Order: sequence, then structure tokens, then C-alpha cells
Amino acid sequence: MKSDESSRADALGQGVDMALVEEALRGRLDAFNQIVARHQDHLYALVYRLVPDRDQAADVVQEAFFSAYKNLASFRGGSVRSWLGRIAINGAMDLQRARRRRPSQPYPDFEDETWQPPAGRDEEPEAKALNVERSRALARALDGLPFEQRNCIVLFDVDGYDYAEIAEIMHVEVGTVKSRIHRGRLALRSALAPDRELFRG
Amino acid sequence: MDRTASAAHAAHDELLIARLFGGDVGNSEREHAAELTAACPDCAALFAELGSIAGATAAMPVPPRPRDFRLTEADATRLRRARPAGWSFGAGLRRSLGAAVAALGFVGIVVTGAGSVFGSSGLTATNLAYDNASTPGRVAAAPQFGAASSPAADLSSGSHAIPAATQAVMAAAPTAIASPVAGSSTVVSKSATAAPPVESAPSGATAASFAPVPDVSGYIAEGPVAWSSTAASGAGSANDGANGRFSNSERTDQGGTDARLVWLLGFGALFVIGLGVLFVPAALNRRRGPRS
Repeated sequence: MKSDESSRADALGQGVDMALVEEALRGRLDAFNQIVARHQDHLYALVYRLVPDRDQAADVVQEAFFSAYKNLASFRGGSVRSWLGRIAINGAMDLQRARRRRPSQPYPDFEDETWQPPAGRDEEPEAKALNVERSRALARALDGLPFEQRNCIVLFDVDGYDYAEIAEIMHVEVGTVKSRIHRGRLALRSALAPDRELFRG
Repeated sequence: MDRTASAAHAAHDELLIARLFGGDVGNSEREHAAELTAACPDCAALFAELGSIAGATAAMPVPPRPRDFRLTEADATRLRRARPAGWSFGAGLRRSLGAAVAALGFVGIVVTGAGSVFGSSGLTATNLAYDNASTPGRVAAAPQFGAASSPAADLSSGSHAIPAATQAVMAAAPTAIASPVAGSSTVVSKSATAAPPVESAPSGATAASFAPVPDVSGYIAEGPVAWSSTAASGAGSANDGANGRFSNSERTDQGGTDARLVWLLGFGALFVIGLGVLFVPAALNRRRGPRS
């Protein structure tokens, strides 16, 4: 459950977003770009977990903002963050479906060493190495899941959507979402069996 | 001990533990799941691992975004062009309506057009059959002169039956058949041309009935039927005015064609209106240029 402070911050953020949307609808591009600046990190992080390829995730996010700009007049209020999230998730799912039809194009290897997750301020080298290993193992295991299960887990565990919201986004029943999440978690655990030690303690 | 516990765990419902972790169990299920996690070390480990994995998933680091996603003026201009002015629920409704009307018109045109094609094919087939096969039989089956003295009786019923007087002429006057009226078809029935000379005409037929000799080629030939004899003049109501054109069935066909034409025009108009509703506003918007 969100704290009062967090709820107040959300409400304030939504108010700012709505004001920016109105300005953008009057033709002010800089207002729309402020919306982009406010949400691009969140959106990229969300899409990257669904489409674990940096370039493709970036393309999906860019297309999501293009689509949002084009269809700004169809925004009917509510959370701009959720609205943008839905657009981006739909784009990511389109890409996943296309990839399923063309499985000859795998995602880049997760062993890519060109990027290392940032270390915490006081993080010991050993803990940092453990985190890196854990993230890689988890990314591999997530990539092995059917994308329907992966999407549900990411949306639920990472982005904090509830069952009903995920059902709405993915156009399925709530029961289906629950089943995908529970079975996906069990499948994830099985996939991580060789690296179980990384997730204990 | 461990082996016994593992063997017992194999019979436990792991999905129930996963549902417990996801907060998706009823009261009775919750009790059962809680018992399992309390009594079975493997179930407890499963529950703990699910928590650990979910936490690690939420904390999974994401590489920094490779670029800034803010739109440039060029992007905005391109997207404004792609976005029709007044894009809204109303515009969507208009497009749906336009598409529906255009589709209705198109289907109507196709159906009506198909009807026309099949209809004319049927008529042609009938005419051909009439030309090739039915004429002798029809002549033989035609009513006797006395029974149907007016050709109108036959013609008004929609039948192409030949009046008895004409039958007599057909049998008796090959020379008349050999000189068809201008404009009539030259396809002539063999049975008619093979008829005996006029001198051997049946005595029951009066001379007045045979003069002038009617041209019966119109009955048995395709094309405009000219029945220019005086015998036909009594059938004015069924024939086409002063020239005595045999037009009873043609008139029926003409009526069907007219109705079909009206439907075709109506559906065509619908189709055009639908396309107009669909595309004209977008074209106007494009001419007007992007919104500032």
C-alpha cells in the first residue's frame, strides 16, 4: 500500500501531467517534450524488461511517444504515466509477437559485458559481483519464459500494476493473469535451479 | 529424514504455494497452504525463493536509455501531418459510417450487377432454345384459327404462340418467308422454309387471312421482331404501336432492366457518398496543412 506522501506526490505529478497535456494540445511541442522528459526513464526501464534488447527497447519507447503525440487528443484523463505505459507495453507485445513469428532473430546475448549495473554507494565488490551474476541469471531465465508469462510477472513485480490492470492491458481475464503469474514464477524458479545459491540468503 | 520430507513434498501442490505468495487464495486454501509451509521445509524454501526471485526481478538493473526520446520539430511536423485535424470520436464515427455506407453500396452494385448478368444470360438461353428447338413444336401446338382468331389472345398472355392464320401461311407460303421484312432476322426455321407452296394451303383458312402475307420470321428468329401483316394489326394492344413490333416479353424485360438500373444507380450513389465521407475531409485537411 502506498504511503500518504507517495500518494500526494502521485496526485501532484498527475496534475502537472494534465496541465502539460492541455498545453501540448494547444500545439506547444515543448510541453509535450516535458511529458517525455518526465516519463522516458520509467518507460524505457519497463520496455527493456519486456524486450531485453537495448536498441529495440529504445525503438519501442520512441514509437510509443510518437503514437502518444499523434493521439494526444484521444487521451481521456487519468494517469498519463499509465496511458504511456499501456502504449509502450502494446508496442513491446507487438514486437514480441513479431519475434515469435521470426525466431531466427534472437535477442543479443545476456553475457554482454559492455554494460555493468551501477554499484551502490557502499556496495562491496563481492556484493556487486553477486548482483551482476544474479541479474544475468534472472535475465536469462526471464527470456526463457513465454512472453505472456514474462509480461505479467514484469508488470506485477516491477511496475506494480495489479491483476485487474494487467488484465485490461493484455486483454485477458483476471484469472488468466493470475495463472500466468503463478505458473511463471514457478517456471522461473525451475529455470534458476542451477543458480539457486545466488538467490538464497 | 530429508528424503522422507522430499518424498512428501512431491505430493504437495506447488502452485498453491505460488498462489499463497501472490495473495490469490481463499480462506480454506490459505490455511492449507500455511500448514504446508509450516510443516514442509521444501514448501517453506519454495515460498522464500519465490520472494527472493520477485525481489530480484523488481531490483533488476536497467541500462541507461541510449538516447533522449524528446521529439524534434521535424518529428512533430511529420506526426501532425499524419494526424488529421479533428481526430476524435466524431471523426472515428464519421469514418466508420463512411466505410459502412461505401461497403453497402459496393455490395449492392455487385449483387445487382450479378443479377443483371445472370438475368440476361437466362434470356439469351431462352431465345436460343426457342430458335433452335421449340419453333416446330410451337407451330404444331398453336391454337386453331377458329379458336384464337386474334393474335392478341396469344400475345397478351405472354406466349409467343403463333396464330392459326399464320400457321397456315407458314405451311403454305415459303415465298413470303423468303422475303423477310427489312430489319428482321434472317435466321429462319427449316420447318417453315420447307413448307408446301401457297396453293396447297388448307381450305379452312380464308383468303383475307393470308393477304398480305405475314412475316413469321420474327417468331422464330432472334432480333427485332417485325410482324407487319394486317393479321397482326388486331393485336395493337400487345404490339408496339403502328409498326406492330412484337414487344410483350421485351416490355417485361425492359421493366426488370429499368428497376435494376435504378437499384444500380442507387447503390452507386451510396458507394460514392461513402467514399466521399471517408476521404474528402482527410483530403481537405491535407490541403489545409498541419496544425500550428
